[in-house]
Amino acid sequence: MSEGKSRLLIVASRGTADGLYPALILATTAVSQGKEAYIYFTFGGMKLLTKQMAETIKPSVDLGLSKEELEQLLAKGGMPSLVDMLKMAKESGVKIYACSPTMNLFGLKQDDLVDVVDEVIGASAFLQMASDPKTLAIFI
Amino acid sequence: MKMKMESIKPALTLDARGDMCPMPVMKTNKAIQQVEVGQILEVLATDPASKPDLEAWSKMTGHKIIAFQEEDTSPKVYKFYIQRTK
Repeated sequence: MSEGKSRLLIVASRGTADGLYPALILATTAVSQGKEAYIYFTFGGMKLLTKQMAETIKPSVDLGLSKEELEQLLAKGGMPSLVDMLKMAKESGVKIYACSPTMNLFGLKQDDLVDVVDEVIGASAFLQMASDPKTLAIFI
Repeated sequence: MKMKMESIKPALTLDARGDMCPMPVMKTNKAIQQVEVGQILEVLATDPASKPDLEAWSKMTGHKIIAFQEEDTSPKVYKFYIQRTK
């Protein structure tokens, strides 16, 4: 992390469309505002970083929309798919971190992850980043 | 101090009508790099959050909203003139 800039660090822990879009929206907007942004994908959130699972992510029951309905509404608003939004976030400078305990849990190897991942980190590295006074850490 | 819109000549227009949050801000952030420092970018948006969101973006980045107008259409179109400052 570079000195001076304020940072947004997001934990994306849910594996649903309505769990992941807010993380991507906030991180890309933070970069637009000149901040550094990081997303730490963990537990369900790791689906988006997993090749075999990324395309299968659905909205939660709580949202009350089907995958198709949500995709149609988002497309109408000029919003990319989750997979494209992740690529866009990466291209705009958002750093993407994968959670190593979750990889153990699901038996994932580095080869199973999409190629946007910057680093695989664990709780200790995350907490060290989060404890920086210029970092705002939020859980989604 | 806001300027009169009619007297301003934008160097580039970004049409973000129909786009929802966060696309207008992301596109504006890209488009501002395509005009020279001092030049004006015109942004058209229909997202009702575009005014507070672009104002916040302007505060954070320093690029200046020199004029704003709401057009009485359906849906409402928000028009911004933004000067690149750096």
